Amino acid sequence: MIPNIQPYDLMTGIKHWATVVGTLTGVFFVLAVILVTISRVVPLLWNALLALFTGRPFPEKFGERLVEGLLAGPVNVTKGVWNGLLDFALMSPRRVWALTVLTIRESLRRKAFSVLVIFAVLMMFAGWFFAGGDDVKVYISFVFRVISWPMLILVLLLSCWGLPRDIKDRSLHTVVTKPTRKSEIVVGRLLGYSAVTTAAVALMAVVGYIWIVRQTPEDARSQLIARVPIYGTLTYLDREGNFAEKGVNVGDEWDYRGFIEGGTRSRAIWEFKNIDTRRLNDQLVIESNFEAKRMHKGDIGKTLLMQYTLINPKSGDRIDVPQTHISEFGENITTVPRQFTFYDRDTKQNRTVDLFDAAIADGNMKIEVRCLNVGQFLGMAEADLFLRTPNAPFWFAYVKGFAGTLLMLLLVILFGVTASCFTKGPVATIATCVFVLVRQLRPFQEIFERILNQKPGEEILGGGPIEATIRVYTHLNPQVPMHDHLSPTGSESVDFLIFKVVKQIDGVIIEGLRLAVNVLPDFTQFYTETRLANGFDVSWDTTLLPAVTLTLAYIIPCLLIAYYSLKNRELEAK
Amino acid sequence: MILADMTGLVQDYLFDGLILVGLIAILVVIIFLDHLKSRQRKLAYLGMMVALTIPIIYLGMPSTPSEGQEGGELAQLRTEYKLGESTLGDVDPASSTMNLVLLGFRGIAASMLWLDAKHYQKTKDWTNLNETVKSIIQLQPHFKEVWSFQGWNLAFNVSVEMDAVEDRFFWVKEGAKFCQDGTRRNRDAHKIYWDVGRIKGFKIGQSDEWEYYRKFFVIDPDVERFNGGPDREINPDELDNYLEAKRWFQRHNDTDVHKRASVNRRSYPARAQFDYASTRQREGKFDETTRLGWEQAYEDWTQKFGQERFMTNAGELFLEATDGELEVMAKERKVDVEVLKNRRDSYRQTCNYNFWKAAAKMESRPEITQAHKNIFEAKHLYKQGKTSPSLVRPAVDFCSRLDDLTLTNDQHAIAKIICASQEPLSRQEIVKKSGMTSTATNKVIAELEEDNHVQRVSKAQLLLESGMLTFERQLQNAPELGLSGRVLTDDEAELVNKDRDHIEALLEAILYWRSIHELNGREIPKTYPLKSVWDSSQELVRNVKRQFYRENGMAAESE
Repeated sequence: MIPNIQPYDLMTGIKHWATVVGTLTGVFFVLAVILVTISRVVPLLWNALLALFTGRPFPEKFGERLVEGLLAGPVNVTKGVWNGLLDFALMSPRRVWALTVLTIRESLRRKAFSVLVIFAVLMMFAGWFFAGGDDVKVYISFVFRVISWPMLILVLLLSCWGLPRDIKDRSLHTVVTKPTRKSEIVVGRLLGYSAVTTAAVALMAVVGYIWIVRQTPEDARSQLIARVPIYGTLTYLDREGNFAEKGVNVGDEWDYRGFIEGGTRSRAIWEFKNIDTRRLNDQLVIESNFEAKRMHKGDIGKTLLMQYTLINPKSGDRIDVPQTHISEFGENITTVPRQFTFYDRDTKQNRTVDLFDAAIADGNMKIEVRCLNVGQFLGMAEADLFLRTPNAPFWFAYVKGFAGTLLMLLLVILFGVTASCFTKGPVATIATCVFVLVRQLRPFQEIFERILNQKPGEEILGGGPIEATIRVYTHLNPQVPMHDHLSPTGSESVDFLIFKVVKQIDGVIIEGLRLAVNVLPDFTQFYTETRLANGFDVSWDTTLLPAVTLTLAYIIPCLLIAYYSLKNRELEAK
Repeated sequence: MILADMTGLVQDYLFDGLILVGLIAILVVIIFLDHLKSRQRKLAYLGMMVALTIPIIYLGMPSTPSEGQEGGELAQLRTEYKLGESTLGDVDPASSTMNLVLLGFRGIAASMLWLDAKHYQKTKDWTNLNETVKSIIQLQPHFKEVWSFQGWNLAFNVSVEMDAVEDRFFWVKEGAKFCQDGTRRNRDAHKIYWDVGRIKGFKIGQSDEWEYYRKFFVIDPDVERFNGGPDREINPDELDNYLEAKRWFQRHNDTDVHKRASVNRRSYPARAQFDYASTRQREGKFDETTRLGWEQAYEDWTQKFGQERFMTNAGELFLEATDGELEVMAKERKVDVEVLKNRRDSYRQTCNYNFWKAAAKMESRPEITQAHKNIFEAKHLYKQGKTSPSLVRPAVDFCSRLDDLTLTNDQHAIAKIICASQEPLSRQEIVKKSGMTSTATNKVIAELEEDNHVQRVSKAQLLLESGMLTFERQLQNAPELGLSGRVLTDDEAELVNKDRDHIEALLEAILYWRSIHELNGREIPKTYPLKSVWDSSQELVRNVKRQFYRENGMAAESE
């Protein structure tokens, strides 16, 4: 499965980011104002109350101080925010650089590059685990893992333990007593760790590249490619030839692919837009990877038969490409030359056309796919058919792939440094781990997916945490409504009320989770290796842009949190 | 006496005692450590380490069987109870390293990998599934169910997800190889040997793709890689899949020394031999090899499986035991002979013993092989549409009554030609022999047929009738098959054990024969060979008909 085939929509991303960050900033601002106000006003009021009832002297200038106290919240918080922004704005590049160098030195002193030893050992013995496999997918994934996992541990240790250790050893005092800004300390650390990480990753990536090329068996080296696909959007026609939103569900647990029925008017249609014919090399290379589902044995010795029809969206001209047998889970590449002769079903004779004129109109084209075996089904998802342009160099795609990994590590550093600004090393490590892992672990993924995919007015299957607990305890199937089978009190109206309350509380918890899911980073965006391992180029607009955006999105909020935490931290405390 | 007991007791508990004393000593030292100076404390630690190391080295000394050293107490116990890695099976350094590196997090890692494997299977990511399964096994190399389950999963579930039959075969092989690895890592896990046999036998020989799989087993579809031979990892000796499966079933029996497997399971080596012979027939191979296959099956069934000792609540017995032998056993053990007989019969019943014995005996006769061949060829002719009655044969008793009948000269001449021939003759042959014109000959044949003196039949019908007749005769001699069509004696009836597949094969032959009659517009005769089987197995006819229509591309409505 190839994730994200459509270009990343930057504007929507920015809007979403602004909404989440704006909301959170607003919430924090209001909370800060309330807290400051309470801290000022409550003691005053308490003293006034005591004076009223115990006869103590009434606080002096009560009215004046009350107004001052009420204003203190907004004023002080605004001032604090302003000072913070000013602190960032007035950062000195020279000092930041000095702090960066200091961080690099410190990392080297702490033997950060010893990770290379682990890497070397893993690479040396890796051959034990690869017994002559000829799928390069495994080799590429291995290299990415063997680099990213030890590096993850390293950056976690460096970023989470650096500052707390400096505070503990009081070496930070030598820095803070100099004319440096807290923002410079944070940024300097970030840059320093990032530089060390980048250097280590670059070094390992080079070794990894050589390893992949050497380790891949001779006959499998042709798989080390970076295909550059042009994707379209997919729609379906049902067996009567009417538009269908989805393909047929053949009972597969995984509904990634929709199926079309063979021997009927059912079709899968890909619509391509803005095709640059200059990139096509005077031919149309169509690659597909469909899934077959047999409803009857059919001819066991032959795979299912399919046919492409190229359609000019403007003129409606249809050009039939010869039928082919599919190669399931393998490569189906059909090359159609620019000057193409085909049998025209309308005129009932052969016609030769220039494909780029006949099938493509203003860069747009449709490809219709049909299954020719009666009673059999062909399954497809949007990523399963694409046009091929000349391959990109593998090494270049590999470098871009590692850019994704590096961005992931930088984000972890960002989280680590931020966490280390307000807690001690172990807590910061755990906090960062949770932040990084929560959305990646499979059991959580399923819950989050359900929450993210929930449509307005729709209930989550099995309900929220309280309902789910009740269901587990009473062995009640998630498909069955609770009120149909459970009656804790025996009275219908009281039960109804109880269930309603449960649902309301669950609703609040789920909303909280939804906000949390939106705040937690989706690290799957950094899995650039999936593309590379599947033989695709790591393209900017579909893969790298989301990764870059994700990293950038956390920079401002994290820097702010780190700055304020460090500013308000008692550095004398060990 | 008491002293000897005491010595024994001391010896028995010496090691436990030593450990206990050691632990107490450590406790005492720890309590007093606080009072010591740093250096003294360090020295005390060192002393304790040395003190603990000595018994560990003594007890845990590794055994070197090649040099005749038994090793320490622990090593001996490990060997005795087969707890050591090397006594369980081949040691995989990668697996051991991985377990060591995980520092006790093996369980968590294995659980995560299981979740991953399930996810990959769901999302049809076969490469990663295969790799993940291999990783699981690195972590849990002695968890037998993992080998059984994942081997079965690859061969039976993953394979059918593929559309191309070659790809399917690849995954069947992967499953078999996986289980084979399991047997290497777990030499005594008899169940995994059986799993290998199941894949090589049933999966390859009985799935929808069996015709392809059986060929691929001997000549792998990846010709380039295997040079037109088999994948030697699963078929090292270029054997038939059932014969290779038989070996694995036999290994299962050999490793199952305590006979934990059921009597049915233990019959599989012989059953694989049955499958081998019957599948050859199914493929149209009716040579001596096939007949010898049946002979071997009879031998395996009666002389190997039939002689195996099974423990029952009436003591040990074997399935081939005669009543006389049981009486001797009963006398020796002082038990009621009827109990022994009951036990034996119930075991026989469980594995259909009598049926298979009779079937193997019958099938190893050359005439039955010929009958199968005839029926097979008849079906082939039927499928080619060669069902028109082109041959002429005399009616029953016609030839013996020839001189008593009033016939014209032409009729008499042609009747003599027909009667003189051992085999039914074609019209052309009759024309040639009679010297008459073709039209005149046809006219005479038609007259004779109208008077029921001769019959026109197709070759397919003749072959079917010959086969059916042979079966009917042979079934008379094998009352255990329950298809003899005659009233059985009480003793015979007790032995009857019908087998559905066998009856269906006979019903199929009758169905073809009946269909030929219908196609030629003839009525089905009131009596015909195997009629009793047809009449007594009507509950199975529907199923056989469905199969027949499907095989011959007929519409199901004609049922």
